[in-house]
Amino acid sequence: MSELSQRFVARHVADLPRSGIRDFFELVSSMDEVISLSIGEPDFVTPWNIREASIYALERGRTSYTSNRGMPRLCRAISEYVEDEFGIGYHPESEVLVTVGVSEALDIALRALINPGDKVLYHEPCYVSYHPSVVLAHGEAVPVGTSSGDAFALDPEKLEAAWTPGCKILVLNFPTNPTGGVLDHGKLERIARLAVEKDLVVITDEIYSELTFQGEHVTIASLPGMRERTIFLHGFSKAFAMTGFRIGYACGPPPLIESMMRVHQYSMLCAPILSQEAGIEALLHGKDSLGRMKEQYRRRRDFIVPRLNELGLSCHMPHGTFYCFPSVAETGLSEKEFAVELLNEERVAVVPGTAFGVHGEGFVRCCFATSYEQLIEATDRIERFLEKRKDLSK
Amino acid sequence: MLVGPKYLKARHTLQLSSMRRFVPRHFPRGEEFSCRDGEYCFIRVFFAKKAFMSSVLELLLEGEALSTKQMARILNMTHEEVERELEELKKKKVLLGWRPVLHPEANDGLNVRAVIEVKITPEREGGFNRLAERISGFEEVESCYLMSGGYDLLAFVRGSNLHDVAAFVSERLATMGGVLSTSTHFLLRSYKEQGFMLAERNADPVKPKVTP
Ligand SMILES: Cc1ncc(COP(=O)(O)O)c(C=O)c1O
Repeated sequence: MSELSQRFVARHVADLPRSGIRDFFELVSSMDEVISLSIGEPDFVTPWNIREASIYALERGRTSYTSNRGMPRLCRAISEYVEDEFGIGYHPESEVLVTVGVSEALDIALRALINPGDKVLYHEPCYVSYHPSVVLAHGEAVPVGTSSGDAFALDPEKLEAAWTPGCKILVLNFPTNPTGGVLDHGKLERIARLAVEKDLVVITDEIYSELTFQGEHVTIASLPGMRERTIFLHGFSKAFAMTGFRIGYACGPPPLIESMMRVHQYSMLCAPILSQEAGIEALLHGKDSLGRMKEQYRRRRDFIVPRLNELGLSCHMPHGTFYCFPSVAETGLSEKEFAVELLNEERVAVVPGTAFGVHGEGFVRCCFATSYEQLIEATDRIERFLEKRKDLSK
Repeated sequence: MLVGPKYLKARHTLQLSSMRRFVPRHFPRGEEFSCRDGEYCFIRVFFAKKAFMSSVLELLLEGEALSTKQMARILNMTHEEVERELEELKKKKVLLGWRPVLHPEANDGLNVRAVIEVKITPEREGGFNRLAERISGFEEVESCYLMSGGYDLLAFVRGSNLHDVAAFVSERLATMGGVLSTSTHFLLRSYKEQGFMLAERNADPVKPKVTP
């Protein structure tokens, strides 16, 4: 640590571990002709009607702040969308808050709820920002491992075992980045009962819920007794291919939304107006595009997962998201060695599972939101890589 | 999945049978009726979007150029199964054929394109069909449609120069018995060609290669 950072940087920030994604990003960026299966976003550009709505707003000079909560039209559209798609009614004026992506929503939810030292349960491997967001809000992270044996669903018993006094929040993300895991109804209900029993507030990150390929996605917020203790986070980044718009939202009971609003109004003021305009268009007229993109992800999944299994990288069939999470244990390499050697030898980038927490050990994340040609080429290269290693070990 | 009802509007009773022809036979027909409303009649059909969609066709429609071998791998089918399904689609006339989509300015020797609005007299038997098929028969005609509104047929034609196209219109098309008038519009510039945007996109890769 440099002398300057020692003098000035807050301890809890200086102590944050470097993101595994960032290390890997730097390595990949230094190379040419890489096929990247390590991107956490859709390969589609945002559907044109959604982009066009933003352009129109810009043309009309809509470049101001909006109300802190978000534009009333957008809040109404969100309220209707969530009611239609998830079966929970949230009042557009007191139970919806528009944020700068799910990223901000998660951050302000944790900051609004955590007293220093409060414990936050979440399942791992998980999205890279959960642990740091908890730490930055002065909470204590309590990860609960999920495993390929359970298809990366959260086991209610393990959750209960991980609970200790002082646990206040449970963060859920199903379907899960990076594993594609989902929760069946039985597990969801048991987790909900546990949340009530232990008086936990649940933050559910629903960002991949539209990309559920098998079975119907049910949000925990819709189960009995859960609405009043759940903050429902959702966004536009994945379903509508809108990562760069930086827009999302939180829904929940008025006191919780109001608490988030306090943080939001001073830190962010409001989400960008052009993105809010795009969000309205997405919710009102984006369903067809969403359906088309989802079909294409499904077909890509149906190609890559059997192919990886065929190559000896055992991989469960993800029921949602555009990620699969194969095990590299068979190769005798650690996930990091596998990712680095594959990159050096065959120029295919996959993300080591440990970038998503220690429970990702022995796995890598492959994003299949890319063209068929790239998927075919990437898996052929992986095949060649594995063959060469087999030959070497003979 | 049923997505309908859709109303097809035909101008003459005689059209009814020919409009029906446009609806593939294997479409389930929820309800179908015709009624005379002045000179119009309506056919109501339920289009089944998915009913004739094979997985091979869905993949093709995504627009990525793939060999049948690659398609077989993606769909987890054998090469033969894909070929067979393509044959089947051709036989059913769902898939009419293949051709490359060229940039309109790529010099393929046929760079002048025009659309021609054609007014014709319908005939007692067959309505517009006989003439429309005659016009469509010319090599110069790339596509030809029966239209609602101010004229009857819309023909897309191509030639190697302006003179070619003009000669086609004045000597062949306009002189045909039953053709009442033509109105020719030349295409000046193309912005989108069969789904492909032609404007140069900024190739600067802004997307990072690794993201969370
Ligand atoms: C699980 C999860 N939550 C949140 C985000 C961030 O979403 P947003 O773009 O809405 O901030 C991502 C993005 O990768 C994610 O995978």
